[in-house]
Amino acid sequence: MAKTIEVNRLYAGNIHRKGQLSEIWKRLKKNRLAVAGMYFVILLLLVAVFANYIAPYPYDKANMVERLQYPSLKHWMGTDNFGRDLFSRLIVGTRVSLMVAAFAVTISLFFGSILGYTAAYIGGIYETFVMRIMDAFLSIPSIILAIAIAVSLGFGVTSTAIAIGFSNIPVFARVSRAAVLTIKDNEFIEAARSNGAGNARILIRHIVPNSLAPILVQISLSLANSILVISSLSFVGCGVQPPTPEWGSILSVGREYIGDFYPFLVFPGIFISVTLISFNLFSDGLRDALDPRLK
Amino acid sequence: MIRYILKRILMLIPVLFLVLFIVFTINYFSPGDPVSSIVGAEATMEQRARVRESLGLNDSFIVRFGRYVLNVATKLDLGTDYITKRPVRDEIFERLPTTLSLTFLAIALASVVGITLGIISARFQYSIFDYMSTLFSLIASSMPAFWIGLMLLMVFALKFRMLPSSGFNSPRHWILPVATIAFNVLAIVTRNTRSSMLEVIRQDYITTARAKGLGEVKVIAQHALKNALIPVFTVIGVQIGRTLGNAVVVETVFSIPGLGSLMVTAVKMSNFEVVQGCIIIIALSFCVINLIVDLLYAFLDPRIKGQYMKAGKRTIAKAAKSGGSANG
Repeated sequence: MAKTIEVNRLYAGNIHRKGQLSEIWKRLKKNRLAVAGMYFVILLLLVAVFANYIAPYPYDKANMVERLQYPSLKHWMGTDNFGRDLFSRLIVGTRVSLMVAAFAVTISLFFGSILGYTAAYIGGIYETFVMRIMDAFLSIPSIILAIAIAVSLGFGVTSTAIAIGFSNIPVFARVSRAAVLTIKDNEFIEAARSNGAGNARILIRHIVPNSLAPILVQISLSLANSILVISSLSFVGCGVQPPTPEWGSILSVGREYIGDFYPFLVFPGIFISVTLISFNLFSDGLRDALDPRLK
Repeated sequence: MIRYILKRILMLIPVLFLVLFIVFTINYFSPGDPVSSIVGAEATMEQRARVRESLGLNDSFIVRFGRYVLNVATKLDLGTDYITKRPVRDEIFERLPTTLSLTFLAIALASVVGITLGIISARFQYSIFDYMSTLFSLIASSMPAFWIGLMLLMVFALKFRMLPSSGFNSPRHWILPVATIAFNVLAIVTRNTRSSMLEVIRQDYITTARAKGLGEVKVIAQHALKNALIPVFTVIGVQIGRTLGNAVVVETVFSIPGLGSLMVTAVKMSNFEVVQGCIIIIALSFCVINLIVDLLYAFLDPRIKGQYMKAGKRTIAKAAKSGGSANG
């Protein structure tokens, strides 16, 4: 499990390595909502990976005879305006949403943490310069910024991911900078330096592992936020475009049938909401478990 | 205090300049060509070149950016909408009040209802009401605003025909959009009021107030609330950006002629001048709102005010940094 490895690395070099990890797990376990959220996130990941096996029909198989059918045993969530099975489309939509979100968060994590770490570590004019630019980015609401970037890249899956990824860089820059600032002046950093460790070694061996906790939480929060922004962008028509089964784009087509065909509107929204709720519950629980002082 | 306010206003200028730069750069690399939308597809190469020259599109990036900044700064001129041939500024300012009032009404509604729910929840902790409102805020804070809008529209406008489904003419039209936009913030405000209230209620001075025989309403309203609300206001301030973003998306659900629908239409028509103008104005509104919120804190919280009064440079810079918090 990727999370375990991450958390393990977080406390690498600590004598109580196992103790720390099981402490975190114990604290997380106490929060039943967070555990429920975690299991749901895992379930979603499995659904995304095995989407093709879970979906009862091919997501793009049109059948004009069976268009706009209400939920039945044959089509659990009904069919859309081309007679395609909605359940299958939403299952494959899980994969699209999670993939785009993961790609976006990777971009923001990569650039954001490089900027944040270097800003905090180097300081001075460089830090002021970087953080002022990040402030300017943050003064544009993230959905608006994502729309702007998506416009210049053209619409589609990749450009949506890039747009959302870039619009989230400042958040990661801020979080990682703050994380480094809190540990930069600790004695163990000084000790490492007096032992002759160079900047790169200190950064990679000491600062990065010790500042991971808030970044992990931010990754989880940003995944949820990215999924929300993807569906919003696709809904207004600036994101993933209709033939691709994405929750927001399914909703934007379903909107035309708002007066007379409810499954088209209700089920995609439930998928988005449940996904966001479980990610947010898990993030909150993870934050409390990683840093008990915050509670 | 006045010096602090002036300083904060001056600090807006570099941020806005950077916003202009970011938006202009994004726009500069956009694939669309305004010339085609002006002269039409059948124009000759010569015509195109002439239009291109007259718009100054042949100049270098720096020259064009400089000209844009100069126009914005001196005349508030955001360029011309190539499709309607009207100044972008006029189009935006016709619609800006709608979007801003939607945002403000939603924030106001969410604050009033959220704070009330939060207080009741905290006062009757572990009651049925508390569980219900906690569950509600848990779910509602994670629901996408545009979907809430669609659901409300489906139920109240189309199923029961209680409220109009689109347009923005009478107060009845405002109910659904404002409720939709308020939903997320309402949930977050409820949750934060509850936890901050619970913290305050356990403090000694509340016990003292009760011990000296003060009525429960007075204890809550006069003693506890004052301190409990400060962190809640911070949260509301942080949520304004998200609300503004939500308003932009929700406008398309209810076909409200606001900034959001202007921007989305412009995006679809590759009308970049308008998109650029919208983003700049939204960022400007957001910065100004944040500034106002920050100044309000100073008035609300005597501790912060005291800081500013005798503050050296460091504390102000620190406060300013923590004030302009993350959005999204």
